[in-house]
Amino acid sequence: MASSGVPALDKLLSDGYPEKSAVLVIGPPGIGKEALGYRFTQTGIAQGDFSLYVTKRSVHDVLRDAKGFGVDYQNRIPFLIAREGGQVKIDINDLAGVSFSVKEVLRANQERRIRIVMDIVSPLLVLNPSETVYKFLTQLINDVKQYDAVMLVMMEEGMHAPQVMAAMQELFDGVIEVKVFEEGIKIVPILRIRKMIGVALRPEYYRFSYSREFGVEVTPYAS
Amino acid sequence: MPASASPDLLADAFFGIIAVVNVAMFGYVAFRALRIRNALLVPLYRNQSLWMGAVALYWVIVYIPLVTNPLQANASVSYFLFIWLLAGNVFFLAFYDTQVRVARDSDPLERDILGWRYLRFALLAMVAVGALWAIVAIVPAVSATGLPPIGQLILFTAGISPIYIPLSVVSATAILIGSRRSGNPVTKRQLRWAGITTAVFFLLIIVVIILVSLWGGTVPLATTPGLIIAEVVILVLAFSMYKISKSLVLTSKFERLGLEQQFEN
Repeated sequence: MASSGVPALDKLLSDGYPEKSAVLVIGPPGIGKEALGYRFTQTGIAQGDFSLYVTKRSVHDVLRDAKGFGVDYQNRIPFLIAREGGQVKIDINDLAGVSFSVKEVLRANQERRIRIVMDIVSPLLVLNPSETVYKFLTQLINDVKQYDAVMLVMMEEGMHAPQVMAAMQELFDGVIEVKVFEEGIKIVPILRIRKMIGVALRPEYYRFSYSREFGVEVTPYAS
Repeated sequence: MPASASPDLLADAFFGIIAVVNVAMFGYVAFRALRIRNALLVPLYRNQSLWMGAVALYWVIVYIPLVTNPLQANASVSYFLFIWLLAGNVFFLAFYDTQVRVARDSDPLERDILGWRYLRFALLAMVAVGALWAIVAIVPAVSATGLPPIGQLILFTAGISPIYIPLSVVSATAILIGSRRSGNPVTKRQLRWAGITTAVFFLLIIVVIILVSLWGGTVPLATTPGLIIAEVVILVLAFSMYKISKSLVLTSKFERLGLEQQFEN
């Protein structure tokens, strides 16, 4: 298992994300689903894994955002494929180029256990036909299985057609939802694991929160 | 309504009802925005909700004295409102700034909008200079008129309006461009309403300037048609802010994922 970097989530997942798995994290903008990616890569680096972060943003923005969640990479930052400032620069308009860059990096680091965070799928789906992105992800998931990797893919809720979201969820081994739930005057961020291969799930809602003192927390939520 | 009701009484009633509706709407927007802020974890989006709540609260605080009208009795309230109106510049700038930055974040290509990363500092400098000018020049001039506090307040509002004009025009343009570029339908809707809010605010400034230039300090303010027009424009502003608050973040209902559905997994 690959530790998520969030102890309470590891407990829910029976010690972390399953090996050779691809997990989809869905949530609206602003809820902080990226925090799961930052914690995941930071823990991977600490364990000697090769951590790859693929993003449409600049490295400066990613590092600042990560710091906001108490993740200070200091000198041990993940390998970044980014629009600006990363080890590999990508043009989000060029899906073939993105695919090539990711594959090259995976091939070059196949000797180590690999952790991947993909934070570009939603913009890719806006800029390309969904079938093309679906093919790209299918190939990438095959690479994940081949290279002993674990991959987290972030997607924005409300950005894509329901049939696209359904097809994407089918493609992945696990699906984690981080949503803002509204109940009367209460508005709470909730985490829910919809599916996870090889893990017996307890179907419950969990409160998803962050504090400087305790970091990212996942605690049972009684509705 | 009694047949003998004077036009002034009708205008006062109309003015009062709209003011109460506006206070209620702005109050709700502030409450909802600050609740949403607590549910979000990303600083940019938390700030967006915070400043949205601050702008709504700004209007509530501007309105309560107008509804309860304590200005006749207490001049210190009007001085507080002078400061509050100036603070509004900061609230509005921060509100526009977070909206434009969210718009950029929501653009799949993350394009800068109208050079906003530099423009925001130019706008901040303009607001700071404007506030200084208001304190040094407008407050003494308005105080010297000898008008009742509410009259001074309206003159002061008109006096500081030129600061708001470039701020609202540039920001409305940037937000609406951002709305067109956004890849997320919920954010796109939210930004569209934010752009409309900013444009309505610009319209309000124009109405206030026209109102003050026609007023001349003689007609009772609360019954002039111009003031009622201003109230209606603020009502539109309150409604557009209400629409932003409804699309500030995509929310789900617990009912949609009831217990039965949970155990299906």
